[in-house]
Amino acid sequence: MVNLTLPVSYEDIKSQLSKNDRIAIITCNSCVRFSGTGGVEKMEEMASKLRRDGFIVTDEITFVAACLHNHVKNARISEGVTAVVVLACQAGWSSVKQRFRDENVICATKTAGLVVVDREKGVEKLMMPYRDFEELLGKEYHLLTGELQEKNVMDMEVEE
Amino acid sequence: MIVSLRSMTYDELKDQLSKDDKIVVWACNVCVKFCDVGGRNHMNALADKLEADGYNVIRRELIGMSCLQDLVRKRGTDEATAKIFEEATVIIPLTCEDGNENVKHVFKGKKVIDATKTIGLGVFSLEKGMTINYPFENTGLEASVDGIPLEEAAKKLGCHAGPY
Repeated sequence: MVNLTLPVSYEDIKSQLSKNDRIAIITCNSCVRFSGTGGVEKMEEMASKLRRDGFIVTDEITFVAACLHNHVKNARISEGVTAVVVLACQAGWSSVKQRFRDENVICATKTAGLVVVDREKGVEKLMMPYRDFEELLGKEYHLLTGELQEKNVMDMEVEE
Repeated sequence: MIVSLRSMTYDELKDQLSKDDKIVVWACNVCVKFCDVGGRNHMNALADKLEADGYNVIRRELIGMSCLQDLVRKRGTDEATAKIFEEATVIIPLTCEDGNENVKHVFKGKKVIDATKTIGLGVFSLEKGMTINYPFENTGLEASVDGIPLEEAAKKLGCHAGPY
């Protein structure tokens, strides 16, 4: 299930929105929560920041897994949404874009690749990176915060 | 969801086994279930087939998420399963490649079959099943909002969609 996502900066996201937009924020509650880039708290944080900066946020929606499209398709979302900020991986973003084809759907994360997780050690380790993130192969990230570990704690072999 | 395909046919899988092997058929119950490769039903179907062909399946092990290494480790230490895994000589993981790596790492010394190929991330819907939407670049598949059906991706990659 678990992939690693890294955050897109708030300034980047804000620059893709207009003050006239009616914005829905959608978060997945699975992998992105592990990576510290999504989940209910991150969604609330994003909504508060946008509202403080004068944007209109009409909806905040959580999905267990945004890549399960029927959840996204059937969710009750306000009429007239013009922009959607998606705190999910690229697959979750695709799922949301399938519903909001004509709207501005912004991915608030960068999908780095697939990880193995060790909850006892509190880390996830990047095992299968996408091309742009190959230099991060074998790096470990703190679970729930996504903070890069200075020192690896999993004794897991990594295939170059 | 992580998208994985079968990396071989059932006959090719059998070629890697011997009748003396003590086999654990291991299945993850998340992404690969949606890819029609893993989950309880496909685990049981493979184990049944192997048994009907005279192989010694000593355990059918369904795991919530095989990418959680601590959960995999627990199978080797929990009193309900530790003995079985000590006895096993071969494990066939119906998991993504990450899940497979965890099995290899935890159960060192066992023959762990590479039964799947993981090709990226996708979207599942009841109407379309699983599609691959954000493939790894080395697959040569294009990323797309609507995704590619797994049968089509499998054909392009020389893999197989659906269960063993």
